[in-house]
Amino acid sequence: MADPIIEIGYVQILLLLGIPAVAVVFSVRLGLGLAREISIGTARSLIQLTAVGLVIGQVFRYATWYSVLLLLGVMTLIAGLTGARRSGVGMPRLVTVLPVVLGGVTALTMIYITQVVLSVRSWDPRYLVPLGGMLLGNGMTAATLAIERLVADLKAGTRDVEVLLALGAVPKAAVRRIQQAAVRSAMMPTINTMMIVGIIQLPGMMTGQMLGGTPPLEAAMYQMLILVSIMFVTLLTSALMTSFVAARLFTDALQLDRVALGRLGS
Amino acid sequence: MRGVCVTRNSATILEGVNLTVERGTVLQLVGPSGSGKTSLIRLVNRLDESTTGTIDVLGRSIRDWAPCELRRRVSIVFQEPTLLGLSVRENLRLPMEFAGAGSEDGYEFRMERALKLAGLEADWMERDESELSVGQKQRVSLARSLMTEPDVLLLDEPTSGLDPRSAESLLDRLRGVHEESGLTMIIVTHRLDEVRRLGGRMAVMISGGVAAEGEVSELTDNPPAGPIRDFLVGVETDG
Repeated sequence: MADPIIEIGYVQILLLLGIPAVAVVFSVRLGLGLAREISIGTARSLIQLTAVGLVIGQVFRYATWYSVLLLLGVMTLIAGLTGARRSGVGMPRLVTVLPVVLGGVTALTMIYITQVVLSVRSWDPRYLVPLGGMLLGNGMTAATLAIERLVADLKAGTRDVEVLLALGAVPKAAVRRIQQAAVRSAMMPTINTMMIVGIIQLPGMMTGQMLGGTPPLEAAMYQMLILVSIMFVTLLTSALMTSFVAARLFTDALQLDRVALGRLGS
Repeated sequence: MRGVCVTRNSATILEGVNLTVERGTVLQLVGPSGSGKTSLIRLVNRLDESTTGTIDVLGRSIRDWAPCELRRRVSIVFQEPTLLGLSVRENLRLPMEFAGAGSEDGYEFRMERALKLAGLEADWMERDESELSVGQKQRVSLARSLMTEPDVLLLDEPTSGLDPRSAESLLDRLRGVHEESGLTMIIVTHRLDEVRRLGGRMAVMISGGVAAEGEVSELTDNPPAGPIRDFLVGVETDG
């Protein structure tokens, strides 16, 4: 078994901060105007990561079902709200729907992974928290990309949609191609990662596990599990969210609501 | 149509339009751009909603029709032909798919018939959108609109993107379609020579309302004085 992981204490943090300090010097010398951003970014990373480390530390210490669920619930809410804002389309209902969809899809996937595949028989935060975090983060990004693309394509393709409606299509059929393109584009980053994983770079989680002393092959298999789960979550989240947004852009008389579409950003 | 009004963002698009189109006749809508012609025909197959007023199609208020069924009975050919990057066959198949009707074999006969009505040969079926000229695309759009064997055909300036010869030949074909199928047609146009070529009745729209209505020959030969005459004389000299 490997030696226990080397602890990063105050001294190490101070030494680590030497790197951004040098980066700031470079930025000033090269006239990049990034000194402020690098400083703030470094400070924020340090504060946020310390805070999250402390919070998750508490959850790990008690490992009760409610502390795990509370943490996952807060993460879902933040991911959902951030995603709704970042999609930039400004549809008020997204704020309530995205957290629900994201939470539902993530929960479904996690139940399969932890209960069926891994047979985790306790509320062990070591499995639930990192897995949940990664699924929520990726699901959020996928939803954002898909919604953005859907709205942009609908605006550019209004005429195509109306031609299809005029030929007797229901809205679902009229937006099918645009929705497919939106889901595909949201899936591409994940698919690309699956294609090149391990060849060009080692993913963060596998690296982390190896730093923690897990044998590389085992770490690789956990990475596989995460990748497959992410792929499923991005697919389902982007498909559900694009269906939701598209459905709200048609009237009861199956008309494309061009006023509502025009109000959306992107 | 009775008392049809459309307002959008407090702008009046259509104001108190009353129009009757007898079954099996042709009505041509002419008028300056922005006079509400396109807005008006988009109401008939309910692509847009009127703010007030009623529209009956085949004796039934359009609000009582299921929208998909209404759009199969009332087809539209848009100003710019849009074939969605699909082949001719795929285009013709679309309305049948949406209707969920019949088998592929059943379509074949209809497809050939629709192509023929639009003045295209059956061997055009496998061509792709990229192989077609604008005029040919417009004919495919026409054939596609005829696939559901509609009762009413709406046409929104179907010749506007075409050169004069293709425009003429499309109009002749439209007259042929009308004569062969007895289809009711409402056609938006802005060229007086085309209006005369197609014949039937016409309505002149000015500022969102119907300013005059009558037989084409009657109105074009003896336009009433005022804005209608100004408009008709204007387009004639432009043309």
